[in-house]
Amino acid sequence: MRWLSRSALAASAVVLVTWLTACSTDDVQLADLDLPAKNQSQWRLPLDQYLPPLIDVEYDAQQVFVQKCMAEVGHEWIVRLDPAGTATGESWNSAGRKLFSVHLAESYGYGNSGQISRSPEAEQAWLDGERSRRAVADQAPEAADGCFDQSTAVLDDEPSWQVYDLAMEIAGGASGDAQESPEVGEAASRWRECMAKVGLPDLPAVPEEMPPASVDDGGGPAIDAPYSVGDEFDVSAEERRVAVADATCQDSSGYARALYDAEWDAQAEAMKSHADDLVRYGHQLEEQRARAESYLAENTPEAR
Amino acid sequence: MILSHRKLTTAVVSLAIVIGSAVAAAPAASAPSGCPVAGLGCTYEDSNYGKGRINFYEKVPRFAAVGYWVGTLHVRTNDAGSSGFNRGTSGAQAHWFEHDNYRGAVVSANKNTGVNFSSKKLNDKISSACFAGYCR
Repeated sequence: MRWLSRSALAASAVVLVTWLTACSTDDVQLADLDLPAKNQSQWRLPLDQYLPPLIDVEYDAQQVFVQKCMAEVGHEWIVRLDPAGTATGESWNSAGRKLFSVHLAESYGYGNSGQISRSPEAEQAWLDGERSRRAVADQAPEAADGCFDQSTAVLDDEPSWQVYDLAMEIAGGASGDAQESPEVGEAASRWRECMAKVGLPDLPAVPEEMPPASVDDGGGPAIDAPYSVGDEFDVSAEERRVAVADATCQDSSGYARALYDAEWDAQAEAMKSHADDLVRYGHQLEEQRARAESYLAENTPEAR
Repeated sequence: MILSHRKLTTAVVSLAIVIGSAVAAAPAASAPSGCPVAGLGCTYEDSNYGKGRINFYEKVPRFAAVGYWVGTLHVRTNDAGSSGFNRGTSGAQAHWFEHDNYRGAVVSANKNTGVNFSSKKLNDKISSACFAGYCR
């Protein structure tokens, strides 16, 4: 090796490390980065498994911890866990993405179901519990904050948020890329042609901007409009008519399919450059959720 | 202008801090100004909790319908938010969505944490928001 200059040696080392890294990354991409099966009706995307889930065992475990902690200092922190096997509401996928279809438009117009599938009674109980927790936290803020702080020693969710932060970053970029793809733009033109028969004076350029003001006048306060369980079905005939036509045209024009495929491809492509992190993070999430499950099994055996 | 080594080092460090604060997601922190009341989800016109704000206890289904940013009175409220902070008290996540009525890509923040939407590629693209459970 004496005939190699120091700089040549350094350059060789850089090439070797780069090659090894590339091989390692390719191996990870090919072998371990598990993509789910495509499912357009559920808008299932490659990153869903790394995004904050709507049904979140870590959140449940933290609430139970805070409930016990608050009880020790004389405050009632009401927690009602959903039964095992509870699903997301029909308007939402497991990663918190809102869905849109003819069926959903017929039921909710441009609105949606609750995020978690519950009976009206269970939804009211959840809402009452949430409002009670807010009231208790207002009355005893130091106790509540102290209990949340203490929960991190037992159920630190920071490792999960590391994963979620990366996934949200990739997903946000992929969504924008998908909407700007030529195939989606062409499908949006066909959607507009299809929607012309609906007779809206202010039809927007793309479905994402629906409904326009002529359909949705915003009725009520723009922030924190009062809500009662069951209001989601209180949809005007005009909104329902337009929403159903919109969903029908998104299907027949190929818009929904084009957007879904483009978003899938954009996520899958972007994930390649984060493959090592995502594989590691997948294991990290499994460990976090197993720990939360164990905590719940030990502390709320009647609910699991 | 010729800078001394010490001044140059200081300038480089300062620049790094400025760049870092501009591109990184806002960390867990005490509540920023403009998010003064416990229980609020706070949305800001600029990154790092700057300029106007639109705050909610439960939800904002259409930022376009709000009309103006408190503090600046700027009237472009749709596709104009740049950061958010979850000052909720119950432990629920705060969500900000790409489109009206909670559609499209979502940015979530845990209790007592904030986020620059640019770090999620959604700067000036937010159209609705809610606390978990209130997205109606």
